[in-house]
Formats: sequence, C-alpha cells, structure tokens
Amino acid sequence: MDPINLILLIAITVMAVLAVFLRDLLRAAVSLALMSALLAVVLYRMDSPYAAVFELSVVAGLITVLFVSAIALTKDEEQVAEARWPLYVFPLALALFGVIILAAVPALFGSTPAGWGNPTATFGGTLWGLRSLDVLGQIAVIFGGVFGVLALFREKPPTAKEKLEAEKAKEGGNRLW
Amino acid sequence: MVIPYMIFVGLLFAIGLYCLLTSRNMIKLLIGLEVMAKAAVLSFITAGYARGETFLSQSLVVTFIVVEVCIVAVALALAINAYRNTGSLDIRKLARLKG
Repeated sequence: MDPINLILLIAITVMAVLAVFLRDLLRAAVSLALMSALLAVVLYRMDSPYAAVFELSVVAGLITVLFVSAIALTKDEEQVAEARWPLYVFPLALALFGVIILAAVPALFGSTPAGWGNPTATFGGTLWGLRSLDVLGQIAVIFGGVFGVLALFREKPPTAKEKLEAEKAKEGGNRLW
Repeated sequence: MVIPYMIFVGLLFAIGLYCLLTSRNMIKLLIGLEVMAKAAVLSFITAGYARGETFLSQSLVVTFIVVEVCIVAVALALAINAYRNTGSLDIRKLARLKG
C-alpha cells in the first residue's frame, strides 16, 4: 500500500471520528467536509479522477452548504442526549466485522477474473454506453429529490377566514392613517 | 493489496454505524449516514482499482453521489420541518406525532 494513501486514510478516519464525536454541529459538518476533500485526494491517487472531482465539488461543497444551512435554520440550543448502550456492544460488533472482512475480501476478489469489462474503454464510453440506464435513474432521483424538498417546504394556502382577517387588518390600517 | 483499504472501509462504516446507533440528533444522524456513504465510495473505488476497471467503478460512484445528495437534501428538509413542529432536533420527539 502506498504510504501517502495510508496517511491520507488515517487522516480520513480521524476526521470521521471528529465528525461523529464533536458536540458542535457546525464543527462536525466542517470535519465531514474535510473528510470528503481528503477522500477526493485518495480517489485521485487511485486512478479515479472523475469520481474525485464529483466527490470534491458535490459532496465536499454542496452537501456542506446544505448541512450549514440546515444548522443555521434550526439553531438547536439544547444538547440532545445520546444513547449509552452501544458503547458496550459496539467493540464486539466491530471485531466481528473485522473478522468477516478479513475472511470474505480475498475470497471475493479471487472468484472473478480480472478485467472482465473493457479495460480500454473511456469514462464517457462506460457511463453513456455500458451504464446509460444509470443516467436515467439519476435524472429520476434528482427530480424525486427536487419535488420532495418542494413538497416539504410548500406553503399552506390561506383559508377564507384568514383572507377575511387579513383584509380587515388592511382596512383598519388604512383608516388609521 | 486491497485488504488495507478494506480495513479502512470497515472502520469508516463502523464509525458511521456507531453514530446512527448512539445519536438522537437528526443532523448528527445524517452525518453518520454520510460517513457510511464515504465507506461505500471507497469500497467501490478500491474494487475498481484492484480489478483494473476504474471507469466502471467511477460511473457507479457518480450515480451513488447523485443519489446521496438527493437523500441528504430531502432528509435535511424533513429535519427542518420536524424542528419547526417540535422545536427540537431530538428524533424521539417524532415518535409522539399522530395523524
């Protein structure tokens, strides 16, 4: 393993721990953004420049903006209490997970021959040729997300009573002046 | 070659899972979900890198990132709406909603 990649992955893990354990939500969001930026560097070093650009611009940029906006809109003063029981169960689950990874990964990578796709293809050829249906799925997901957000922030139309009250208030204001 | 990368994938996934299990703040839950998503991205790219099929893994990651952004946007909108209704980001207060 490349030592620079190892250092970067350790830094990513530290940032993930900070994002999860920091009490201040804004600092946690910034840690998450730094983690994404470091992951983009790792992706670039692993011969995946397009994924790195997407990771850096969309995840480190756009998602951080979304998180910071949500934190600014909510301003949660009270600290929400956290559950304690996973502290005791979790190390066991983590150890089990490690054993599964060590056992399963070599078997998975040994079972299929390397390069069954087309290794000479380009990124554009793969995305628009081999995975063109994914693009349709992406468009559907984007529309789903946009309409989901619109539906959640939809203003309720005023009722007849509210309209009448608003008109009365307006008339009262006119008389006053 | 892939084992060290997959160990980090496991670690990131575990950190995100721990956040999902312990945290009750809705925004913190989403941060945990994001950490798990990073583990998935690293896993895809490691698999592509190891098999010499980086173009295929990159196209999958691009699709995954688009899905991830939409999920986060809708979930944050839900969290803001829940905050307006309950005055708190505590996920347990949503259990009392009726209707």
